[in-house]
Amino acid sequence: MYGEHYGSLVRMAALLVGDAAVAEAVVQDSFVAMHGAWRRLRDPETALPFLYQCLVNRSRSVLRQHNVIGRNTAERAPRMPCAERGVPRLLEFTVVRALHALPPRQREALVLTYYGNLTQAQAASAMGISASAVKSHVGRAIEALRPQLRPGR
Amino acid sequence: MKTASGDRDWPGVMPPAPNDGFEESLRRALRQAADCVEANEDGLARIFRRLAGPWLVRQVSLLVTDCVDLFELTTIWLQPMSARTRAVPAAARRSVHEAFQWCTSPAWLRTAVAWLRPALAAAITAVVVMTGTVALSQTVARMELSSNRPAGLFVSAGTATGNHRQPAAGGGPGPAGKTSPPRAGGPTHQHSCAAASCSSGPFMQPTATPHGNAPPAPNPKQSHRHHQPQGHHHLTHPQQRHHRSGEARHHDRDPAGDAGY
Repeated sequence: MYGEHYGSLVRMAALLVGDAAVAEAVVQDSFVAMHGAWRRLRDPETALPFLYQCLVNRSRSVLRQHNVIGRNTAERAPRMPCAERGVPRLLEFTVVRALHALPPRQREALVLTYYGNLTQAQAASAMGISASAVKSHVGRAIEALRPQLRPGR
Repeated sequence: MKTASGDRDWPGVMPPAPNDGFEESLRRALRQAADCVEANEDGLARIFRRLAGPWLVRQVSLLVTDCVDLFELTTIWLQPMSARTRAVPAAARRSVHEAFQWCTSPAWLRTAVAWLRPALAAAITAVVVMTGTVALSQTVARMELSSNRPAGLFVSAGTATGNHRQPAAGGGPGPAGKTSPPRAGGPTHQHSCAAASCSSGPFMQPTATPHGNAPPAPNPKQSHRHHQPQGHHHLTHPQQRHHRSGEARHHDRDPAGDAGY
């Protein structure tokens, strides 16, 4: 499972949190949590949905913590782990900047369905909301992103 | 959080059908952005390192990590409050220091004189007005007091030779209907009353009339006509005489009546 999904989970987490190093920590935490809850899963097929759930929940926690720190402290120098490794920063992409301008639920729904290729039911299970809510979030996110990601721009 | 145990379609992930070109371009853009993220190769080693430790140590390390995060968040939350708390004593110290410097500087005197002058003027005005009010009220009270005294006795203050003078300070001028207003340094008159009958005090003793050598009581009209222009205080009007006799009776009952005043 690690070899099959670790890379894609890290990329998905990077789209959610906007930082590759934090995304790796989030994914590793998710694997550790899955290992701890392995006996409770009973069905091995539920391991991947459990990983998605852990990924979404820990991404929310990280973003919430960063928001609190950003609200109450002065402007800090942005962390650039990708730049240190010679990788272009995620926020240099227009789509990532537009993605982080969205509300958290719309961002999660869009990443899970459009990058993770999950169905609305799977995304709903990972996000802990209904499938119709996922559909609504995706529609609003696309409407919000459409003027920003127009081919002419 | 809901579990995904009910979802049986997890292994076979089906991509949603694209509606138009925008969704495809969005998907491509997301993949292009995510492909720049390269996962570290030591990810599995880190996971195993975290799982290799004893369960208690792992829980304690997780607890310590959570406590550190909580402490950091609490510190961040309380940072504005602590900054405000530090700023208040600093402002108080600064204001006290500035006040002390202002008091010790010569500019204080100029500033003080600037508002001291009108304040002094207002205070002096208030004092003068209050003094005048008190003096006027005392004068009015004394006038009322003297008006209640025997008006005929008020005209004495004569000398041993029989010269009657206006009371200078013993009593104020009586009401116009009862006694003539006294005039300082007014003309004296000579009459033949005995020296003993003319009291040296401000009030005439009521024993002036029983003298045998006293001049006969003049005609009220003549006396009035004779004395009034000169401002003398002989009680020649019948009403005044009646009042005088009543006062005389009062003095007979109370020998120490003057002392009472």
